[in-house]
Amino acid sequence: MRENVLEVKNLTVALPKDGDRAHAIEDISLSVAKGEIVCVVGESGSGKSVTASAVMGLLPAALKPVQGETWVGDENTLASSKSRLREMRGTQMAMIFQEPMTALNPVAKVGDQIAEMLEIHTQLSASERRKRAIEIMDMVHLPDPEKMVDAYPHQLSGGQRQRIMIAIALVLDPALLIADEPTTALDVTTQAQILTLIKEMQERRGTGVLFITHDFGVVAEIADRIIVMQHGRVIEHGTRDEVLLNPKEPYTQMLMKSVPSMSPPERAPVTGEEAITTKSLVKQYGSKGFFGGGRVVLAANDVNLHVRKGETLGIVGESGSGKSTVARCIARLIDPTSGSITLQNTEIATLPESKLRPLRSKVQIVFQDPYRSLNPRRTIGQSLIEAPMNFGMDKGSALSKARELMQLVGLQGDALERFPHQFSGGQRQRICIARALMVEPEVLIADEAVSALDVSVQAQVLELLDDIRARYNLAMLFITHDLRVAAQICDRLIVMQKGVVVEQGPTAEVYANPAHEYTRLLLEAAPGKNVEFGSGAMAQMA
Amino acid sequence: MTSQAISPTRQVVGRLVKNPSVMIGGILVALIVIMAIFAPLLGTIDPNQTSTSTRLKPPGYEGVMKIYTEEGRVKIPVTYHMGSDDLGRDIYSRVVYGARTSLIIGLSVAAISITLGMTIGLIAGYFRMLDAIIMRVMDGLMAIPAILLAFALVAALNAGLLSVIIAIVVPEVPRVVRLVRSIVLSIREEPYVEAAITAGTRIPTLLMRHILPNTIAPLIVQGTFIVASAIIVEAILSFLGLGVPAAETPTWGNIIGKARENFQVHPHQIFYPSIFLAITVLSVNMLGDGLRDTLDPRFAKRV
Repeated sequence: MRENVLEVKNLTVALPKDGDRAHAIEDISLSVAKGEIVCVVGESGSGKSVTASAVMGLLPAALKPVQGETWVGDENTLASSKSRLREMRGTQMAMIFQEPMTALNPVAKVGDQIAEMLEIHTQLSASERRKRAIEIMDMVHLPDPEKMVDAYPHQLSGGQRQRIMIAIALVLDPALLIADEPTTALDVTTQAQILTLIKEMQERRGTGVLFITHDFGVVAEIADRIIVMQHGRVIEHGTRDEVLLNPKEPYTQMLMKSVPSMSPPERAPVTGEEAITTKSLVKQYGSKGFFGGGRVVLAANDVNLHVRKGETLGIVGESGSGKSTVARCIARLIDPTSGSITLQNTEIATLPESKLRPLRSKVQIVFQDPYRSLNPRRTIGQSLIEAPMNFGMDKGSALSKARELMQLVGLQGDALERFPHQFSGGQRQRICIARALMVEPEVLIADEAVSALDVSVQAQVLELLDDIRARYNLAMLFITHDLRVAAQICDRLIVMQKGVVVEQGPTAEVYANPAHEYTRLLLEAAPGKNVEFGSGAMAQMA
Repeated sequence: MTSQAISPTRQVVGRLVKNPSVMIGGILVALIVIMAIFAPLLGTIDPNQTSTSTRLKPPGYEGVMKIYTEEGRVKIPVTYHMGSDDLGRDIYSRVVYGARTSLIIGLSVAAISITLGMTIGLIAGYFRMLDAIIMRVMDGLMAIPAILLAFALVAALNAGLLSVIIAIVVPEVPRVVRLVRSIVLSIREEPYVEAAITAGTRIPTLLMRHILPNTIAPLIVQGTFIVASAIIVEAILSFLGLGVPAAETPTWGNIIGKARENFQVHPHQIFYPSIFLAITVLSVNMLGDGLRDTLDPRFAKRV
């Protein structure tokens, strides 16, 4: 009997010939002991998920393991037959995924989905299976499992669905649990609960956990040991404190330095004139039907805010809090239901499109997803000069301006002739920032503009945003769910919950003395809040 | 990142050439089109020329056609490669010329229904106010079967190319509208479209530049399927005698329809046009399937 629940030895997986490198992962060795949580961290494309899939025998057909062994208990899963792998999945090893909605079958009751595992792998009768399902649902702290066992996935919240996934994974008590970004799609408060649950399960049942994540906050919360990957290789491994606080390799050091700190720096209050102001802004979706039926959602309810020139106002909140709705109302991508939006003494909330169009250059927006923000069929140059030419600039001057701005955002001028797919996510986000600057806006809205980026790229784009805010004296509205990012870039903060502003004030003040219950909850839930990454010192651990 | 600018369009063309069903279907379609264009040069005679002395002859029959002109009686030696019909017309010539009608109808139905459907679909997808009204009208149109509409048109106007085209276009348009509308509905939510709105781009430019190009690939695919289905519907209409009259223009449908009367004695009269009809529809469908596999992202191969 091997000591470790998982031992990967010299694993190499080849990429197809037209891939951007020869191997998805190269010469990976790692181990997970009983009752240990090992975190695999790395940026996108580092090969963390490929490692997990190789262990589970779930590699896509295009990826071929060419060398190495993956021992789960006493069996090398790379050499196991398909039917043996099927037997092992669930009983010896189990996996939970990022997206709990798509991982569950929407047309089957959650209790039946748990019981299915027992039906396949055990001889239990139907009533016993149901009993076991209720027990395990109770164990993962789902409320009222007797009733919920007959619920369908859509009736559950995201966090509850992830609990069901964990219940399915653990019902047969596997020795190894592989968690592939299990909390990435969840809100921060839910994430904290799920992390606690995984930790509790691992402690109570002695399960070994291989936890894959890109979020260093999560790593700080949960890891016993850490493995850092880059370009398919293991760069560094060690205990949590070794890697997070005193990283040895330059790459890890750079990563740790890039993780934004939870403590906001001192910032002098900005006193410029107000660039944009909203008063009692309301956005209502749906309407009462003729007979009073129908559902009404107030996505934004009585929102009052102002952003001064040269100031960054952050709006933070979880999904569904209405932060993006406010941004889209201000950019007039959607029409507010009532209230006023004043852009430099002009009321724009109710302007018809024809009167609004000349003012559109004043408010520009940078979106979350850099892969969808640029028209894939048009060159970068065509995308950049579209707005200034709409506002009457001739093509020649627009192009020379585009070239200047490409330099400013750190790209070569010849990038203008290329197409979006030839750039990385971070480069595309720089292009989007350059596009927003082409018409010299007064207000720049960054709607989760750094949320989809890897942590090292995120740091660079944040720096760029802060730099152009200062250079052009822009009023910046920064929308984010990430309290670390908000701490570093925002002068003032607005905290939103269910469409309502529950708290606002200077960033440092909000973080030091949160006045509202919900703000306290958010700050409390932020993963790894007490760790100063790469600081060298042994910070106090929660 | 490569150093050269590779346009997405050129990448797609590269993938198309590699797809076997695009290549086979495309070559077959091209051969049929060439056959239709160069029909007079392929050893054919006037497809409507009747000849009483050489009626109902088997394939390969070598006979003499006696034609009465203003200058008197003329004798023309003819080889009936596919035999002759009950009026002594050369079935080979009729089948080769019949390709013209089938292709003209297939292509013009596709062109007209896509042009109309795309315009209406763009409007329905982008302007929420008009959406409900337009789509209810489209639902209504879809309820009219092509054959029934052809009956009505033939009764009201007369049997001919135009009535056939109208009869096939009308139920085809709503399908294109639905396709385009669904694409517009999803693309208008894309951040790059919203970025264009904040860039002050006017609605016509926005539609043409950012939204319309996304509909091209699915419409090319849909277009090939419309061509295939129009050829079949035309054949059905002509078979029933509702299409283009056999005395004026041969079409595969009316050759088959005519041959039905002599089927038990002369089955070859049905055989040849049916083979051409089947190969044409098959190759157009193969081309369409191949195009869908390469152009439609939902069928794109994932690595």
